[in-house]
Amino acid sequence: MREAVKESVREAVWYLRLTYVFTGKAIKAMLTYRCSFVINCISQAMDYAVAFLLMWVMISAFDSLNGWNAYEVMLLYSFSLFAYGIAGTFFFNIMNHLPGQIWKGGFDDVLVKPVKVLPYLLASSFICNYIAHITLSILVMGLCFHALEMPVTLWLLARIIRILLFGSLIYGGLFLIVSGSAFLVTKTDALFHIMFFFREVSYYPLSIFPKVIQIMATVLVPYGFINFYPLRELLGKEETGGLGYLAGWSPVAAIVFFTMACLFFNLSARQYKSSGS
Amino acid sequence: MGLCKKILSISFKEKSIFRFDYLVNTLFSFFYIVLKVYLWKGLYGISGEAVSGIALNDMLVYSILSSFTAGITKTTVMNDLNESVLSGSISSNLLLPIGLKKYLFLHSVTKNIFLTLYGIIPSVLAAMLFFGFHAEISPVNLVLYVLSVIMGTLINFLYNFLFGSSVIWFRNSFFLNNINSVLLNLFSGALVPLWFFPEPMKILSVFLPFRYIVFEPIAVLLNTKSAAETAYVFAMQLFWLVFLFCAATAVWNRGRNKIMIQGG
Amino acid sequence: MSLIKVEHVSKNYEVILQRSGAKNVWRNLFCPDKKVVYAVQDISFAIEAGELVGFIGENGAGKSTTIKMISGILFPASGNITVAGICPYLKREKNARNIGAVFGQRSRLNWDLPMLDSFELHKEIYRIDPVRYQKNVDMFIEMLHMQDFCNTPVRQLSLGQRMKAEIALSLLHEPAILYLDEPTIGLDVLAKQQIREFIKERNRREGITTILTSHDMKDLDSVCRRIIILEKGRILFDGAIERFKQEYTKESIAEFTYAGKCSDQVIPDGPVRVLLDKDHRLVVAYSPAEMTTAQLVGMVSAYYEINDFTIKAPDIEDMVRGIYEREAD
Repeated sequence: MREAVKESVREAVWYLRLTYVFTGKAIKAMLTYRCSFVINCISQAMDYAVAFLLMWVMISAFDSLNGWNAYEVMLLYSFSLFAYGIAGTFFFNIMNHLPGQIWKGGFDDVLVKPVKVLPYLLASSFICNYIAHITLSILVMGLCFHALEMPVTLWLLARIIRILLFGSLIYGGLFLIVSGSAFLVTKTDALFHIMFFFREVSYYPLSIFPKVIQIMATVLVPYGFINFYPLRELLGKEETGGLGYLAGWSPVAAIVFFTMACLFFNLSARQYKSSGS
Repeated sequence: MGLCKKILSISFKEKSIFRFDYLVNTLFSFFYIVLKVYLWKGLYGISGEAVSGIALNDMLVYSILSSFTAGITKTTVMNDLNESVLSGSISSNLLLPIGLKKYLFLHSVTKNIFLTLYGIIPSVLAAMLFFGFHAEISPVNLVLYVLSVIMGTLINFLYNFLFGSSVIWFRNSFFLNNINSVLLNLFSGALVPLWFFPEPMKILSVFLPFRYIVFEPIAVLLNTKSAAETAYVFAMQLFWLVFLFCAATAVWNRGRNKIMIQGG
Repeated sequence: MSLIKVEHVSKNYEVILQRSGAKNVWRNLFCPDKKVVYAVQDISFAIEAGELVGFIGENGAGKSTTIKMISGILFPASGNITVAGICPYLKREKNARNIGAVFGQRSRLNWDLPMLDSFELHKEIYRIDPVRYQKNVDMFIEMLHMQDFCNTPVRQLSLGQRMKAEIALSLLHEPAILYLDEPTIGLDVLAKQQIREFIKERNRREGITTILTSHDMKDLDSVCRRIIILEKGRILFDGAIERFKQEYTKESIAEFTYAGKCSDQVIPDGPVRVLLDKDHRLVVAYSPAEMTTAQLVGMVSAYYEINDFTIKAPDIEDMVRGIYEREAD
């Protein structure tokens, strides 16, 4: 038993080291395109900055959105964006490249390596393209907490990190499900759309949407647990909308969802091996 | 004119193969309209009192119309120019018996007509059926709207063509393209109508062409303007049209000479 | 005990047929037409350690499927496969340590970095001992003449240079078995030659069992000692390349240039058949089993004043085509 634990720890450390080596090489490769990388980051930052600005303009004109003021809604947005950025750093490239790899046969090159599929893909897919998302959302969070007159104490910081951690895990699971479905169907567009549609939904308080969307965003794809439920508790908002008091369930939802996503991914990969391309 | 027709019909045929993707796209553009509608309903709250002189119903009508108007005035000409300059195919495009500007415009328009027919109109119609569409639109306003949208399409195209031509010198229009889409999102009224803008942003928008692409045509259609104001909108559209046309032609002629002398 | 043992293996795919047209969108989505395609049907063969085996077959004959199954990428639908005593698809990771694979149509090298960086990643993935790694890298660079480009980003390399790097990469961890799928596709003559020599040398020195597929029959002719011909998922021929030539060679082609004719008579049809006689060029077909080259030249010189002649060795490609044509009939 202890041997088995030791062995899996050794494996995990090895994959971490592999991530480190792969990331080093990826950064070295990226330096050839330094200029376009910087431009890309600035462009993305601008896109999201404008989205934040428009959000502020719109809600300020109306005072509040279903009891949430502009800064509170911007917090929802920034938490969602931050979690998306963290998850994207690890998982986006898998989702982006896997369909093409499967289609063109490049996935076979992964299978002839003496590695476990998912950890290897994770190790080789780390990207730094989300610096803009993450930096911008931290800035906006700072701005909003300041405007809301909530001093960022250590206790608050710990709660924020907890929310972001589980939020990232949920986004990671979503990325994995879209990626894994590439093993089963040739077109993953519809799932892709669902993921990004609900990402858009998660920028606003869930309570403004009809019940059916609220239920879907809680049960089907647990977007509500990324930011809405935990922030409602953090900001001490009234319990309206959603499926009731669910903030405490965020960690459970995140861990269960992520585990299920991993299982789904591995089963799908296995299916690929028996059916081929 | 015969040539124009030919280009139109060919690029239309290319795209008119019905595909599952378009069904999915249509479905989701409908969902995005739904999202916008609930957002506005949430903002107006239960009382639904008019804000900045705009009632909830007007706002819902605006939301639905803005999806349509933004779709029809859209252009990817900056990207097209970028790709054809970088791949070198611009030299062969110059051999066409039709001005490149005209060619790209027709290309852009056909693409939009196609996307509008398959993607936007069904989703907009669905949204109208779903939420109801209570707007009193007089035939006069409708005609003015159509005219205004045509002008808006031309303005957006010329603006993008003007800055897209810079790729001949800079080799890459990615950043410009991005700045442009940011400005368009911000000031065209495609996402948030200019009624709700704070004063400084409103003033800024007056000096930019973007509001005449989406916001003003809809404002004309919804009869929120007096006759004088409507005339002013058309005058401004005409001004931007002439100004951008001259600028785009001047820059493009220089760029074309550069391509012809240096071979791209 | 054979290194690779394939027993009664079959593999079938379900292919979904797409119907075109607007009215079929929903049908395609919810009740697609399926068709079962047999990629491989009941094939058996065994490969001993140290063999050099070539797989021949048209596209879709089952070559790639077979290689994918023995390298552990695909499960067979039925039958058994054993590679070095283990089942490659059930113990994929263990099997993977033992094999090297090159799929010629795509690259595993990082496009934006020099090949040495990809080598280093490979070293980490396969946990190669640093000393052995350095020794192998140095050796391969020298053997494949890669000194000039080992620090150039891969995207700037020629196809031949890239393929050399790919093959070197797949041998860094000293695998016992090497799978090469179309390793010489699109390469120039010199690069092909160097790669063939390298493969042969590795096999001779280290006894690396090599399985090669190629459309270029010259590859197989110069590298392999044994070939397996697949057609529509079945094995048509499995044996030494020499035996194949003997069994399937009927005719060779000889080409003469001549100054003039000795007489007005023409060569009568018999053991020698005239295919072409024009512009002082004479092309004939003859059966090497029935007459030697000397006899042939003797016979032709009775009719023509020969300046020069060349004999075209029987071409495997033609022979294989012959087999396929015969199968088609």
